[in-house]
Amino acid sequence: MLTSKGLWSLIASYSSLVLSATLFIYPPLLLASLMLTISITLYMILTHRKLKNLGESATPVEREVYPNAAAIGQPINVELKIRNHSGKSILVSVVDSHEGLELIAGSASAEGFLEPGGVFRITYRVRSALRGEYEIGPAEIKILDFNGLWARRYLTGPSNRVLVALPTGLWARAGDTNLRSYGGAGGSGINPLTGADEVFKGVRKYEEGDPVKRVAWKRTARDGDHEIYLKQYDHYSSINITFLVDCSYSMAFGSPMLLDSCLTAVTSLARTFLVKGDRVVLTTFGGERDFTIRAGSFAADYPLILKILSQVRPGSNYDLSKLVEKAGPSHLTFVLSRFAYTTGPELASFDEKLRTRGLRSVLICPTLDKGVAKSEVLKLLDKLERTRIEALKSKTPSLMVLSVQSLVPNMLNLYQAYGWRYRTVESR
Amino acid sequence: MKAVKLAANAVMILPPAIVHGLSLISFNYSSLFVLLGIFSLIMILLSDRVKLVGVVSVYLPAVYSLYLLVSGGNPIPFISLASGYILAVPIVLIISMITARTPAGLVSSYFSAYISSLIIYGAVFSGYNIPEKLFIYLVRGIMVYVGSGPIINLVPPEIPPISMLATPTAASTIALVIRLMTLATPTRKFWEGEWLPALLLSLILGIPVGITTYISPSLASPATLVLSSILLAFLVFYSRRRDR
Repeated sequence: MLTSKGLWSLIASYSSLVLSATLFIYPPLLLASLMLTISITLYMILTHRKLKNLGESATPVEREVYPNAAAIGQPINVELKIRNHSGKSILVSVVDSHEGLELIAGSASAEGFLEPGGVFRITYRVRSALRGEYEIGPAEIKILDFNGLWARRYLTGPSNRVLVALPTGLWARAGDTNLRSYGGAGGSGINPLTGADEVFKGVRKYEEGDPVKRVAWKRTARDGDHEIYLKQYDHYSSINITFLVDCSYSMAFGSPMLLDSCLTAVTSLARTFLVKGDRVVLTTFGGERDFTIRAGSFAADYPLILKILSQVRPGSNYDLSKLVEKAGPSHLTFVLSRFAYTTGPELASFDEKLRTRGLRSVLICPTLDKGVAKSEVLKLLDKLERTRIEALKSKTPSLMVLSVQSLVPNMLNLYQAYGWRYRTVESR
Repeated sequence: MKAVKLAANAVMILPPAIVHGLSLISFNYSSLFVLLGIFSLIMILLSDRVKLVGVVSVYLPAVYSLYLLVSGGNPIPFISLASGYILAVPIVLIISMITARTPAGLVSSYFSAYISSLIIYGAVFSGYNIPEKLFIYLVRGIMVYVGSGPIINLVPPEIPPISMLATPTAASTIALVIRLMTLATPTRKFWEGEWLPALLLSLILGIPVGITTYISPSLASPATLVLSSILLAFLVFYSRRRDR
């Protein structure tokens, strides 16, 4: 391909030739212009012929990325090595792609001579302020002629994937702390995180193999019949909970990001519900890639939830009408969104459609905790946001506006309040 | 390498240097402002490095000559200064040709230096060899030659003899290609790459056009345009086909 330098050379030589053939006609100059133009054009043709056989095998690329999974804002080191296996000296220009990641040190591009067998190294650092899975690479290689007029360009090398998210451990711990501070999920059991939805049924005589922890000691002691009694419980049936979480750019603001706070809350709640034995369906919308996770077991599915939610990356707009189709049968559906791309009537219609499908839905508009707006612009934006939410609420009165700090307790309350309606007692 | 570059530079500037040298020799320096003008414009090249040079050498003479024009009604210093600027143009272009860092810069400055020196030569040898006349010639006289024949030729009728410039021009063209070879890669051997075969091939391809120039001069211009267009089209299609 022609480089910009090559293009300008062609433009200069051809315009000189055209001018000396039409306006400034002087035979020696005309021939000189012609010779120059032909020389430059032929040089490019011959260079193209020489470079066209060079490809990925001529310049193998290795990339090392450390760490592969980083926290938001954490620097990621990238080292790119290009080897010259072409057997001749080449002038190489490399640009490594790191879309979506901010370059904080070094340079992702370089140009220089590579002797046969030589290695060209580029090191740089990137970071991301947004969660998601990012791709580093492939590298764009340009092998140029020594004058930089013509180049052979191709993409080469493997691309590396980097996961940028809140640290998983921190995420889970934050969720647990949240739950503990709000008194857990309720229930009759002793586990403050999960509760235990069991109902005392009666006592029966102990049989070999029964768990000792279920022995009804008081009853055993009271009756002098030398029998050991065991407490019996009935268990409540499990329910299906669905989370629809908006992951569009409208949620990607604040520090910590509103989206992260919402996903932390959802993860904590999903963990609780799974431990309790309920089933959870988690669907993201408006992200760069949308995910749906159907989880029925804490041990098997909770790590998957953590992994997949780490990959959520804010994306573009979404269509609420299509979202209705994504909401499967569920006892309780939480929709977390700012509904930034939605008008009042559209939201009302969405709510109505969910109800028509027999879904008990709770529309939640999360907001960042109110701080003191420092600038007039922020104050104005805050005012606009409140006005917008009021307009949505006027059309959909059931819309709940909750600050991120109160998401977990409020959603837990809703879960307990609505959950009991759908649970039935199952005898064991 | 340095010797090659120096030699190439020396040969490359020959045609405009010869033509402009003849013009400068034949010019009548009736006013010292002409020399001041030439000096001023050349000093502009240095004004990037020494700011004061630009102020002293360019603005002071210009302001002073304007002052003389406005206060005393004497236009000679002003016109002479302008004529000096005009005479300095090919020199400045020759210097920029030597200091060019890109092929485009080198080619365009070569062409501009050659053309400007030819135009000044035409003016000087047509009798416009005093400052006032040269200035007037370039302000309004140049278009006299436009439309003087079936082909518009902005090079005035008074031109240096072709036999005088044919050899230096041929040599300068080869020197120019050698200079292009050594332009961007000072550390490499200049014959590496494809410049040498390109130069040889272009010499072979240029021979028929050269012969045409002597046999039928009117066909020379169309022949050059046709040949270069064919090559350009070939370059475009060849590179597109291979890059797929």
